Amino acid sequence: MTHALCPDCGAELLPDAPEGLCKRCLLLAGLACSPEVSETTVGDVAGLLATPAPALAVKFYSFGDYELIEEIARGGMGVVFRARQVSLDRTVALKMILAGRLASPEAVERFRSEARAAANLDHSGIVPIYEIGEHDGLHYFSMKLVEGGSLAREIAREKIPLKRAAQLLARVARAVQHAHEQGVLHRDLKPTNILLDGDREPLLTDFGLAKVFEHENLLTCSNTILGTPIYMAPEQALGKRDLTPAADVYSLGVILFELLTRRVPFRGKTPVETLRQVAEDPPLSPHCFNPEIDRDLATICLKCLEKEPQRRYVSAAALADDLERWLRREPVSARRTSPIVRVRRWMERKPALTAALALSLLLLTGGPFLIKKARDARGNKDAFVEAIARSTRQKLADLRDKWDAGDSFVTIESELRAEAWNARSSSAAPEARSERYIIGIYAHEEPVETAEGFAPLLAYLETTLSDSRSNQVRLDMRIYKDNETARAALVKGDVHVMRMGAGPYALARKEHPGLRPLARAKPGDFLAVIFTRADTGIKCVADLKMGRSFAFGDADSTISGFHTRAALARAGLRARDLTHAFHRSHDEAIEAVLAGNFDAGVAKLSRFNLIRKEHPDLIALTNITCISQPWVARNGLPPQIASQFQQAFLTLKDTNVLGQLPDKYKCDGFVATKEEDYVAMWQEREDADRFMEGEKKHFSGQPEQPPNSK
Amino acid sequence: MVLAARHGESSGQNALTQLCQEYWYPLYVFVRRRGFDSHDAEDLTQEFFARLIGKKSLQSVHPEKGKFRSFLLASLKNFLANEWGRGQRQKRGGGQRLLSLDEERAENRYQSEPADQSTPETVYERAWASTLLDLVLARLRREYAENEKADLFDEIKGFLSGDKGSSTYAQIGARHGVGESAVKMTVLRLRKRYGALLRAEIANTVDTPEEIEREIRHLFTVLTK
Repeated sequence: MTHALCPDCGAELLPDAPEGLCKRCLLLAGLACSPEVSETTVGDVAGLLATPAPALAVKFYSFGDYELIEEIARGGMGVVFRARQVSLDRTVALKMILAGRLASPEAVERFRSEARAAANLDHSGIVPIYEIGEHDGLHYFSMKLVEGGSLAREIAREKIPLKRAAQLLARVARAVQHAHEQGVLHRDLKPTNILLDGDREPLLTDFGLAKVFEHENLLTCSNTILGTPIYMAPEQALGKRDLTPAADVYSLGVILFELLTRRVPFRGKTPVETLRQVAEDPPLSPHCFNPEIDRDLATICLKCLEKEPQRRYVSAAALADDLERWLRREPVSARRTSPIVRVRRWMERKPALTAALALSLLLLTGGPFLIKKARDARGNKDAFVEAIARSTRQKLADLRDKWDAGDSFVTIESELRAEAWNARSSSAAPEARSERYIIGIYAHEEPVETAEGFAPLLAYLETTLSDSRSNQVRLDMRIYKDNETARAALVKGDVHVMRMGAGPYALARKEHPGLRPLARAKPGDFLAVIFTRADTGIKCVADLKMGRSFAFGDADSTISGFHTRAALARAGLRARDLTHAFHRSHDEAIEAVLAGNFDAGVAKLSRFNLIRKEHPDLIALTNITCISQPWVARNGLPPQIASQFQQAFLTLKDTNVLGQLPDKYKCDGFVATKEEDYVAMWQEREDADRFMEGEKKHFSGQPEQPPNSK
Repeated sequence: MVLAARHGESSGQNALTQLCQEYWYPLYVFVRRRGFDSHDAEDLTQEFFARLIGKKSLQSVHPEKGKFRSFLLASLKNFLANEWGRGQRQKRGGGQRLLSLDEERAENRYQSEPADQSTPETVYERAWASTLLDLVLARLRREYAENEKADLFDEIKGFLSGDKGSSTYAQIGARHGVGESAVKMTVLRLRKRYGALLRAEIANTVDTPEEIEREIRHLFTVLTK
């Protein structure tokens, strides 16, 4: 058997050669290698900092007392390596500051003093710094190696339960508080600076170092140095020098927002745009992005995100306290800011934008008087803000006037809706790439109140659609006075999506096959009831013969418009057989029957049951099943928008949004609809038409004693 | 370590057990060369260590008696002459094993040794040198592996025994995108660490630092024969 030969001495390499190496040469090498051999310095570690190196390549390097193992993080400030500290034989995280980042001796001194201050922090939630030094002209510090990755990775990987989010942030806030007590501000709190240990507990790193690398003007720095100002407090983003602990509290709020919603409150297309949003725009409630978040938790988050430092938590500890209260289900200390105050603050903060907005509004709506008022108000913020608020009110009043004057619809644009009810969309400034859709709603009554009721829903849809389309979506609201006009508008394409009765939809579908139902309110079908009083002697619907009177509710409603008429027709009755009237609402119809003005009427079953508790003499004659009102889209919309609308409806579980819908439209969610759901409507329609045979759209007018209007 | 072991302290006893665990193969080789079959050799080696550790025979080790390697061999010869001669074979082992020896592997290894005419003493010393180098290199590899550098170790270990490895510094550097100087420095560190481990290991078996160099030279000549 022949064996390989040692390349050095030519001896045979036997199979038992250790690591395949020649034993004799190994012994000689041991002899030659006296322990005094000294290392010369190797200057090319700088190459590793310039560009990430392959995994094995990193291992060739050592740096002073450290042997590099692998690169674990890279930022604008420097590069972090896993490394072994040879003298103490321990594995550490070694952060090397990029050459050029500490250009001047003053910068070096600042780095050293900040790092020293951070090294003195002794808290279980702060990564301990082991050593600060310089080797081969490179500044570095070593710290405890935390191996669980960063919070940023955790956020990217999975949805974090609310409780866990609150616990994490409370712990981080405690650590920040400790630093504040030692006079150290972090200044660069963000998920990548929060590491997780083996127990998934958070540890903060990079305390105070941002200060070292802060330059004269943030805007002149390239993104790679400081990143985007997403996590910065407004005062910090604007370059204020004398920051307070409140700046860190703000950043904690951004992190909490992100933990809760997996998105940050402000993100512009450029750092400058983000900066502007951070400085000027009010944040949306995290609740808009995650309906599971309750009001208290959202309030805690928003309190951190207040633009004015003094309106935030007084300390990181106060924030931790509130989060812990929330975790214990105790009342939190943060108070919700009313929407009006939020609008006011928003306007106060951005006088330039407000002025432009005010001017356009005034030109549109106000007379010379208001313009003069606004001019006078220049320099007088309160009066100015008041003028804006007044112009918004004025604009709404104008809409109401148009409505009352007989216009068949009014349009409330997204921006006005936002101003008026602060249910603003995700970005205040209109962007070039924006889509605008008109949502039709048939309201019949007070348009402003209807708009107010639907405002949270539209704001929710705007946000959700903007997200899913990666595009700014604006939804204008068009409120129609009657079903006929509304249906015609949908068929014509004047509106893109419309909320309408099931019956009118069935009609519209006949006229325009390109309509599709998106969703309808849960629980879906609801019941109405034809009822009478005990003293009328009427036992069934067919008893409603000649001479009897019948109280319909809203003539435009599906109940009155379709189902009741169809039910009466199927019982052999015609409109001409009855004295009947259409009241403004179903409730008014019930009242008319109770008052003895009518013998029978129709009511929603839920209302009827409620009223019968007070009036046991009411008798139900028959039930009417009625499909709930669908939201309908017209075809010809840009790709996917209809299905995205549908998706937005179906995923809506936010009780705050649903709860603010007008009473008569209240629901606890939406369900998908199918075309087939409306097929039966056609039969109903024909039956209903039969009921009206011979009637020339001539109703008996107002009931004898008109009930009090609301 | 030998000195510590001799004082009969429990840590010393542990150190002795450790040493015996590591250097039993050369003894096994010696016993085999004396003509015992593999089973007998196993039993005898095991029994020898049992006596050595149990009877605290190290009490009789004195610095002037020299190297641990020589001491072990002398003790073993003595053991074979006396104990074996008394025919106490059945008592040997006795089921209580002080060391967990991988006998099967040992025999395979023994079978792969060159079947030359060397004396049992020479074979013992060669095996000793091999064991020593195996130990040191295994330790070195383990250190690199613990620091997540096992791959680096494989890349550069060829430079331990000389400068004529299959690749040059420049080739390795080019392969991994590092400079030649970085490779050179890494190899230098590897050699330094190897030297330190080798000396530390030999220090376990000799009594004075001066003897370390002498032991290396001695083992080198043993391998040359």
